[in-house]
Amino acid sequence: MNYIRRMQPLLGTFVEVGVAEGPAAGSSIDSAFAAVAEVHRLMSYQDPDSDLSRLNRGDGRPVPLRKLTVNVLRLARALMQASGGRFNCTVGGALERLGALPTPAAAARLDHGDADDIVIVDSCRVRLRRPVHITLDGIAKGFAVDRAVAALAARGANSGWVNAGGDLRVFGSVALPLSLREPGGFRTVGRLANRAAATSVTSGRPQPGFPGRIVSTTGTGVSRGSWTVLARHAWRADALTKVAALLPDAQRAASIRRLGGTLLEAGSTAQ
Amino acid sequence: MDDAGYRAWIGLPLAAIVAPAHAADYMTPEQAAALFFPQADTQVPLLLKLSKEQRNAIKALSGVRQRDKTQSVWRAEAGGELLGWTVVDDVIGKHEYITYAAAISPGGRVLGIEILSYRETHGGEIRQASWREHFVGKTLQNPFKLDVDIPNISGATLSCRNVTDGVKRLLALQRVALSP
Repeated sequence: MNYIRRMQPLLGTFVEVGVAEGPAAGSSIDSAFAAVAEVHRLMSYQDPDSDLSRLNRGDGRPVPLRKLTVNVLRLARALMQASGGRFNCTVGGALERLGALPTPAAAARLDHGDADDIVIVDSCRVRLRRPVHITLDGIAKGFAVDRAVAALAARGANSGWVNAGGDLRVFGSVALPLSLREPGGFRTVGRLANRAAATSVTSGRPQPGFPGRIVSTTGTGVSRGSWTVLARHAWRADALTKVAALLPDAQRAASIRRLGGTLLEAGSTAQ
Repeated sequence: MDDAGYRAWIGLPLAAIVAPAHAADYMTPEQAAALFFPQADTQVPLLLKLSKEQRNAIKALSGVRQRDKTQSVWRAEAGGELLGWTVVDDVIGKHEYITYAAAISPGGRVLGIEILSYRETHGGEIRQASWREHFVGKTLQNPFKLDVDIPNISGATLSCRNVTDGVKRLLALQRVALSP
C-alpha cells in the first residue's frame, strides 16, 4: 500500500503525518495538522491567551477552559498521583526560575506543587489550589499526536502514523520500522504497530541554546540516558519518558510497566 | 522547597525515533502550490531576480540576509485575480537541509507552510524544541523574534530558528519584490 506523507513545522518541531493513499487522504491530513495546531494554541505556556496561561493566572478561581484542556489536565493529574509525583506538571515556577521557561507577567509564587493543586471543578472548569504554574510540556506533544490520530480516524483513514519530532503513534495495518538514535548511529529495534513510542534524552550539563529541563521534585536525581517508552497512547509514552528519567535503575522497567508503558531498554527490541 | 532540592538536568526530547528514514521527500513545489491555493485556475512559475537594492531592503525589513539572488515563486490566480504566492526556500541547519514552501497572501500574511524535503546532513543529535508558535497568520508587523512572539519553551533548534528566520525573510521579500 502506498502512503501519502506530509510535514509541517508545528509544536516547535517538524510534525509528519502519513496515511494510506485514498480519495480522503489529503483532507484527513489537513484535519490532523489542525488538531495538532489546536492543542498548541490551547496549551502554550507563552501565549497569554491560551487556556493554560489563563489557568496559570486564575488566582485560585475556577477558570473556564476548553474540554480538551480539562482532559489533558485530568490525565496529567492522574499520572502525577499514580507515579508518586515523578510526573509533575506543576513545575512551571521552578522552570521559570531556572530560565527554562519564560516568566509570564506574574511569576509563580511556588516552585512546584502536587496533584491536589489541580482541582477539576467540572468538565469545563479547573482551578489551582495554590499559586503554582502548570506546564504541559511533558505530555501535550504526545496528546497532540493522539488527537491527530483521532482526527485521521474520524476522516476514515484506516492506517497511518503521526510523528511529532520523536513522539510517534502508528495505527491500522502499517508497521513502521523503529530506529533509535544512539551514539554512533541508528539502531533498529523492531517495528511499531498500533502503538505509540516516545523518547527523552537527559544529559548532565546544561546545553547552550537548549534550556529544556526535567526537574526532580521528589528528592531523587535525574538519571542520564536515553529513555524510550512504548504505550498505547502517545500522551502516556511522552509523559512516562520523564518518569523513567527520574526512577532508580532497579525500579525503572517494573514501574513503567505498572504505569501502562513498556520501557525499551538498551539492547531490547520493540516487539 | 529550597533550590538545592532540584537537581536540574537537561532534558532533550530528541528526534530519536526515526520512522522510517531520516531523509524524506514530501511534495514538489507544484504540489504545494496546488495545496495552498486549491481554487487557483492558474499557477505561474517565476524565477524572481532580486537586485542588490532589493536584497538590502529585505535584510533591512526582516533582519535576515537574503543570500540568494533568485527565488522560486508560483503566482496563484483565479479568473485573473491574484490569490497569493507560493515561495520555495531552503534552510540549512547544523544537521539538516530542509526545503520548504510558504504560502503568502497578497496582504502579506502566511497562509501555510509545508516541508517539501527533509534531509539530515550527518548523524548528530537533532534537538527539538517542545513548542513553538506556528506561523499561520504571521505578518511582518508581528515581531518575528523567536524569543518574543514565537514561543520558545525549550529553546528552538537551529533548524527551527532557521525556518522562523526563513519565513520572516520571505515576508519581507513579498513586500519588496512581489507586492502588487
